[in-house]
Amino acid sequence: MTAASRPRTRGALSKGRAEALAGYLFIAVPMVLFLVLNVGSIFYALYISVWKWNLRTGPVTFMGLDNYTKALNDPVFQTAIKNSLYYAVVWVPLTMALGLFLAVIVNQKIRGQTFFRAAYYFPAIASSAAITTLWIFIVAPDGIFNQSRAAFGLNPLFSLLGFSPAQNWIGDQGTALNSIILLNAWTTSGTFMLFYLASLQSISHEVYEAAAVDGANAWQNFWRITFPLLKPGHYFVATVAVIGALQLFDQALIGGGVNGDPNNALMTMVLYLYNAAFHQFNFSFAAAIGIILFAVIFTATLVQRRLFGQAPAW
Amino acid sequence: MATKFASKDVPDLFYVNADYAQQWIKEGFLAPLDDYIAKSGFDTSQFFGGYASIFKGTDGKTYGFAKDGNTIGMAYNTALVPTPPKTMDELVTLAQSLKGKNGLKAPICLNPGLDRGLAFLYAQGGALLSADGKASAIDTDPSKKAVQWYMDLFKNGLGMTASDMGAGWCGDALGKKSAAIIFEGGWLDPAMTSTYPDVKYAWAQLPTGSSGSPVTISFTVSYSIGADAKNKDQAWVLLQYLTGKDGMTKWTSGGVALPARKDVPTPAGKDVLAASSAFAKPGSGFMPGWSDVQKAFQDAFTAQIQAKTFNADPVITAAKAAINKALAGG
Amino acid sequence: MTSPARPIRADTAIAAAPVGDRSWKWRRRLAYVLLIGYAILMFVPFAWSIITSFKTLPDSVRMTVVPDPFTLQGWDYAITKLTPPMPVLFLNSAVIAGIVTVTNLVLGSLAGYAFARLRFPGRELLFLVVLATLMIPDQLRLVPVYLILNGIGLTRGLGQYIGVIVVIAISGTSIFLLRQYFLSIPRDLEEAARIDGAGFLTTFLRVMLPLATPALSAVAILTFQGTWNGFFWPLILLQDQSHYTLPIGLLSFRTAGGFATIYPPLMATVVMATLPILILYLFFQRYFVEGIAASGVKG
Repeated sequence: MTAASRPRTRGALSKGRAEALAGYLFIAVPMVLFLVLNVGSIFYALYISVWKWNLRTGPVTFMGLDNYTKALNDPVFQTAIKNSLYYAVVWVPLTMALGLFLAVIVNQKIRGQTFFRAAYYFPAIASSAAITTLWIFIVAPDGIFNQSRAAFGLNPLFSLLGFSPAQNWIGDQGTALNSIILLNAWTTSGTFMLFYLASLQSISHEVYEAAAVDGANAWQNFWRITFPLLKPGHYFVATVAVIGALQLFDQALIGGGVNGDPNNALMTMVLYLYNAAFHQFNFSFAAAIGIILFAVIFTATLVQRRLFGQAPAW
Repeated sequence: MATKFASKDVPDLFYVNADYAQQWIKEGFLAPLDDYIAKSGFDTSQFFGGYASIFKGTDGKTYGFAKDGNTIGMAYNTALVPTPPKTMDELVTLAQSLKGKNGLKAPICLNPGLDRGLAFLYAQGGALLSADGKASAIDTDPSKKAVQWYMDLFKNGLGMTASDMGAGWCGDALGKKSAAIIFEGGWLDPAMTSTYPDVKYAWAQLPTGSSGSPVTISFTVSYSIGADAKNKDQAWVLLQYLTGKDGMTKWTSGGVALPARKDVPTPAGKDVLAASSAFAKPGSGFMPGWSDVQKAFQDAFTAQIQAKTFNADPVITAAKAAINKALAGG
Repeated sequence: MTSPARPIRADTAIAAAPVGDRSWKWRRRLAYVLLIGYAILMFVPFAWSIITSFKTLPDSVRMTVVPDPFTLQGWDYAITKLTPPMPVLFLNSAVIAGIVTVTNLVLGSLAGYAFARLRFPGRELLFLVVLATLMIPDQLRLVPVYLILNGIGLTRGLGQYIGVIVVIAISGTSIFLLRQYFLSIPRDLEEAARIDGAGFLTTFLRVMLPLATPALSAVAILTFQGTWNGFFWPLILLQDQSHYTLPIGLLSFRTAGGFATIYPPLMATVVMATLPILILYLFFQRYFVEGIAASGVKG
């Protein structure tokens, strides 16, 4: 029996209808979850942020924008914003550069390519909790980093920069955030390497052939050809990186505790939010912080779109 | 616990840490106990003063009874410190003699915050609040001198934070022999026996300072009944037992905490700390917004010792601002 | 010398060196040494954590590579004395990661297929919603999600597990990756199945799903790794100590427990937290790489 001669039974859905129904059913569960717990939660957050909220009974009094003004006037939150921005400005270019560098290397036809790729991605596979705990152990005042630099005779160099032999890298307000930057640059460089690798492999050889005819060397190849052609890659990595940077939390909490010790050196916007929600139990204040955070991230993403001048090819 | 309040999944009877007591009372999480006290004739006179006041609301009602407490004492490594110092001056002299010896990172392990610093502030004649608790006293001359004195311990290398010693807290520092003298409470004992059983140490009272009288700070936890609890009557029976003379005797004989009542005998090995209960002042929960004040003090203090400027003035300014803000209800 | 006839690609742009230039050879050797050195450096911290877990506490702060004495004290402490003990943490992590991986595979492949191949009104708009979820930071939805789950009782007792699973049951990335893959499968097989009278579900299960194994593997690996390592939602929603996962256990040891500098058991926990992913990585490295790269193709 061919499809054309199969009689349509009464009551059965038309083919188009059946397909649509199947489509909706297949996406039903995710869409409900997304609409309630994800997209919809933005509106709920806005609502929560304008009411004084009692843990047991819910909304109490209307506060209007009080939470927002309180947050923006709080010196601790101002420090948090400053720290998050500083982290983004330093960590993003550093990690992008490192990731690109590794990608270019791993992309070469050298022996052990797979080994290098596996090795350079390795630090990214562990959980933030595990790797930060490990890092704190390594950079403790009596940890192996301080001990090995002493053993290698590097201490005079460090002293010149103002670091004592038993420097408390995570516990010192001057070095805490920078230590986290280095930690995260090291771990995330592997992920960015993979992103860049994918982009690198899409560059066609003809361009290089033409350059070779003109006598270009490797350095020129990279800067004049590879780097500009990677623009979509740069855009994607930069966007992901900035969003991630502004959300710095895990390492700050593990390194500095819920108060961003020492002296707010590790207080980030998200840590401040977490503190407000689960240590001061001020949910409406925390909701407001979440909205502010979203506004910052959204703005940063828009700015980047402008700078890069193109929309990503979804 | 707060998430339990939020989810109305409230146990009938639970601990309330002094740090949170006032806030939880204000938010209505705890059930007032005065009716129960009147009906059952529970004797509340035996509780140490420092412990009882914390669990009373601004409405004068009682919301919990201290189940036990802990005072801060001085724990010292007996191998390195043959006789414990009795005054703060003796402490300084002893520390100077220990400095740089025996692989110590510093003679004393100290916290840069009021969680221990408050005891030293009191000992040296300073105060955080005026006598009626309504105004800041951190910027009076005695207070300023006291804070600077504490700061100078760091400045002269006699004291160091646990973190700078590579320890998680001062108990670790004592155990790893990075410090010879630390200031902690009864919780130190089980930690030392389980993790550092080979280190021999002993307890002594906090050295007396320029204030002339012994003083220290205490921390306590109450038993309270949840406002949403389903079995309040039964909870009261249990609470009465646990914070009454017999119950408390039984439960504090184990060895971490001290009794909160005068009529309960002292657990073994805790004589020094227990004796301090008589003159201990509350180390937390005695003013609204305590954690903000604590944070402001600690942030400013840490900034000074890490920048190596060791100046108490910015610390005083920051603490005063925080105290005023907290007292104003901010 | 390079001749124009030899194809020059990005991957040989640097490696293609003038032949016979001796200083270049030495530079290449040096480059190799540095690269290998940096590669080995990647493993050093983790190796150090393994070594430390077998040391005694005083020994753990010394720079020696061989534990002296070699002891299982650290592991014993982690398994018996830490609260919550390591096996509990491990079990919690495993259960949650396992379930969330399955839900992502099931829901992701169904939705991915629907977005790729089924026609229904509003499809593109709904897919935009999926993409939008990737833009919304978790922290923004912290308070609303917590209050919603609280309202339906998923923040107490065993409900905490369900709460966490519900929040991360399906990720936009899974749907995106699977949709991408389904789009690339030729339509012939599907059409043949439809002509034979197969329903949508049957076509999906019997024909499309088996063809999508590479994408499914990538999603499985990414999801398992992400959930096993996950920090934020377990932190917020698993409030009972006995429900903690490994990362949260590590955090509590570091901040609350006083175990912060008792390194051997702490390192033992770090090792246990990383070992399963490490094993997966050793065997399925390709899928990690493909998965990450594929999610990067978005850009």
